[in-house]
Amino acid sequence: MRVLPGECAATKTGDFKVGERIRHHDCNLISTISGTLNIRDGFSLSVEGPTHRYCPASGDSVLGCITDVHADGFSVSTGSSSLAALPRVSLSVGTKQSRPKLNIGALVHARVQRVNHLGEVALTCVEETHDVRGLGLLTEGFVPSCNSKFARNMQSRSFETALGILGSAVSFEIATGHNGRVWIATSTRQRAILIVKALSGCFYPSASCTVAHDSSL
Amino acid sequence: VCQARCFVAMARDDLLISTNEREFILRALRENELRVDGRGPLDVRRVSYRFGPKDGQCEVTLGQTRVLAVVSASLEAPKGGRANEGRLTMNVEFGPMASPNFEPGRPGQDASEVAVILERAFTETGAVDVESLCVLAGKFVWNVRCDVHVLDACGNIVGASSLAVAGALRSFRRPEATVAPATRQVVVHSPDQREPIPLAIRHTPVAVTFGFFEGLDGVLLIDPSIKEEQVVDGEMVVVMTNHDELCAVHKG
Repeated sequence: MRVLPGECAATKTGDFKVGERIRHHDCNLISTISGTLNIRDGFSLSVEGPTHRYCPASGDSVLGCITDVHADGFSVSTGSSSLAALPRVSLSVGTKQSRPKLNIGALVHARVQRVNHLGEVALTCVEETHDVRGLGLLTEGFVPSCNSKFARNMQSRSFETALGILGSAVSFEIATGHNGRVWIATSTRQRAILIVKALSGCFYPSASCTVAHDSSL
Repeated sequence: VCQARCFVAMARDDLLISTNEREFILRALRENELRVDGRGPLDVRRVSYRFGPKDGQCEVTLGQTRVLAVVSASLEAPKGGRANEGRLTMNVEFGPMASPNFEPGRPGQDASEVAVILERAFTETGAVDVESLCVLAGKFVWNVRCDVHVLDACGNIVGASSLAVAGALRSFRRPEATVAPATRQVVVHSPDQREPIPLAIRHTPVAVTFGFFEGLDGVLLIDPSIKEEQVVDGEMVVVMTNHDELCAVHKG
């Protein structure tokens, strides 16, 4: 549902959890920006607009770049306004020797564990559920970036079918982050660039669009 | 060396480039001669112009980089010993709208560098005939001021700025000012009374930015995008006119 600033967001009475860009006003829940209304888990309301800056939310999978190494963890830049913290214990399950060594500038696929009210973000690479696979250090590959709306579209089912069609032509590995960063690894660099072009052409992924780009590969 | 560069990049959080990307861009250039956006090494991104609602406003979009140039003129006393010449000044601002790394307030070192290049390209080469800007010698001349605002910083701000300034100068119309012969009083006519006059443009300088890499001889890029700008080891700006004359060379 598309909403404008000031428009009433709640369509039915009940208990709602107020998320981003929604405010209380006179017993109504109104949105503060123009965008699409997002209802998570049936009761958590938030409005998402076409922003370029990423706002961390717990449960999101993000691609972050290590900016600083501390004794107990790393500072990770996710593209949001504050740096995120990745503790060493959350890096991977196993012994101290089996954990990968991370340098400054390394790319990590992590999940946002929690965001406190000050905006500080805690990340984890340890899988709790099996929804997000492949958390941890990413090596080689190509990292284009896109805006947050495309990042959200990438998490949708239709995007997975688009990736499947693309995968039947070219074999590649992909990791997408809610913060608008994507990691793609293929056998040759030309293929990686072509895949990025194909994906950027499908801003709203649909089968016809991917078939057209497929033929160009 | 890589560590040192990363420490410098750390201060600019948004532009921190991961080692994966850096390696990919360098390897793609070294082994495949390929740029990550699919361009050839000598290809410039798509340029589009948009002329503003008023004369003298020009917005140039070079790929993702957007720059707005606004030209205005005011009558002032001549300076610098040149009694019968007007002035053309450049002012460049990197606003926070362009990038999270730009701070509001006075122009920093990067913005001043762009302003210096534009002044060398336009003012010092005489792109605009300043003698035609004189109204009353010794008393009143037109001071043409060009304000360049960077709206979106995605690489090659200098190139986009030079295009925007050229467009803005060409589309600018200054009011006509006449001197009453008897009283030697200057009358500035409003646009309703007299048609505004364009500036006398002698030539159009265009700035081209080259990017170089240490250890990769013979590889140079034209019009680097923002990721490539972070990976290049050195840049050079060459400003030339449309008549194949060299205006300025700047090494950065």
